[in-house]
Amino acid sequence: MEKITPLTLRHRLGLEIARKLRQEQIKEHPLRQLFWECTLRCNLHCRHCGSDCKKEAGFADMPLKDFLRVLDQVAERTDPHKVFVILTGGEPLVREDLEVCGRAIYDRGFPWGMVTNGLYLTRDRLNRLRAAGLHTATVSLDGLEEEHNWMRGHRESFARALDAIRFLVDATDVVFDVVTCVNRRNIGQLEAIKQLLIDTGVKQWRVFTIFPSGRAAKDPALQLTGEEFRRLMEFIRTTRKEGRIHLSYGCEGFLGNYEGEVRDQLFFCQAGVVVGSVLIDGSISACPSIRADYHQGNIYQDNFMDVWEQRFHPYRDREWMRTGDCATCQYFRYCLGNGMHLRDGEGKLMFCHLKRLEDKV
Amino acid sequence: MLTTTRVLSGLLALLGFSACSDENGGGMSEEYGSPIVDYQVKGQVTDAEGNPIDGIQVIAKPAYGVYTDATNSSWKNADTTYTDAEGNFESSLLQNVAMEGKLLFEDVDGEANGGVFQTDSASLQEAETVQLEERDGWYMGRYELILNKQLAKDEPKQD
Repeated sequence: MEKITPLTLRHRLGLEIARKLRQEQIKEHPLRQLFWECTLRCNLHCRHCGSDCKKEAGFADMPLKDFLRVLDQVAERTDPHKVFVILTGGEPLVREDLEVCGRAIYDRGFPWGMVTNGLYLTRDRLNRLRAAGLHTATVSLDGLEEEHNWMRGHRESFARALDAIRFLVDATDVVFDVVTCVNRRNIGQLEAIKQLLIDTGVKQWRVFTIFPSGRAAKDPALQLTGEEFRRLMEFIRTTRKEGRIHLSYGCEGFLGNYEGEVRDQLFFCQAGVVVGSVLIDGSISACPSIRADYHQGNIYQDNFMDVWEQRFHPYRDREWMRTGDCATCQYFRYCLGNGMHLRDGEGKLMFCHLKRLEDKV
Repeated sequence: MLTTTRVLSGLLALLGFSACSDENGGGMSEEYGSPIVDYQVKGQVTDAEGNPIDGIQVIAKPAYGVYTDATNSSWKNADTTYTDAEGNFESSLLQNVAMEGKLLFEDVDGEANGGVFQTDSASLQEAETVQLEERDGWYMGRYELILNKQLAKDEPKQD
């Protein structure tokens, strides 16, 4: 990559077209992905956790019947077959009734999947979950053994996550990806991690970088420098060209001329546009990592679909984000102020990917 | 508006970019989503001697009890069809997250069409699978499943 900016003519044209498509999608805002933060309990204590979850969570698991009421409200107004339910946490596998939850969700016509650290996944458990309609999963693997276990705070975490990945490779009816949180300790291992995943049979790999929130906010070992960030982009680009594994960068951040090179789609934060969530306390939001300041309602007081259709204005009109660095940024028309999860309680942007990419160091 | 969207998506593709569309799950095929597969089940029902049986009811029943009829997006719990004079049957184009489920065969016309045959079933996993369309993102492609079935006569019980 010669330069990250200014944009090439091809990028500018593509981004202008994508803007038009984006405007239409915002106008329609069809609910397509619904996160359910079904528990805050977790069997790990990760350095980068955005939810600050704990073994003994401050909230009890949400009763299944409360979430099913939400699904019934959704099904009244939209085709459930088109709304993908993602079980997240905490760690979903700590819920003993996960299979019951999955089956009930599936029987209402909603496809579902889960995001897991893999620690509690056994072959039997996976088979039971498949019987309950599980067809997609995301497993976290944050490096080779030492680095992964350092990040996850558990000495068996790597081995068990890799076992989980192997079980999923064998389950041909489950589409899954592995996600890796790239940080200063594992960035030198990307080639080795890639080879490990390819050798294990993984087809889809997604990497993301850490944003300064939750437990990660005060940990300098987790934040990549500009040079490291550029190195990561080049690694993704090269890997995509090789075609041995489908690698992409996570959904956040406008990346200049890396747009279309490291992800399949051009950047567009779809929180509140197609992505909604029900959080552990009943809050209605979009991606679970978005701050509580941007919650739009609560399932214990509101009808979920009323909230989806009538609120979410800050998500669908992001002109309010045109402050600070964004106020004078010529790329705001394509970026729209980065991801919603990167706004702090006062609406300030916590991290600009383009700026970091252009950092000299 | 759908046409405009398609034109714009086409232009994006010409420039070498992928478009976000409702079809691929709100344009987030890289992120969280659900696989969708289109398939149609075809086959022939015969008796023990290989003669075709007309009028056998064939129900395609998905493993999870939910799928749409892709032709009109309506909800269905099962798809019902009947064999013709050649014993051939053909389901609607079905859409589901996976090709799981079974076919139920039932003689619903009594003595007509060669006598009474026993009710039977077959798993879709037994079918010969032909891929007609490639996978793309969460779309797993379109398939034809061919499953032939032989039904036994329902013999009257001997005392």
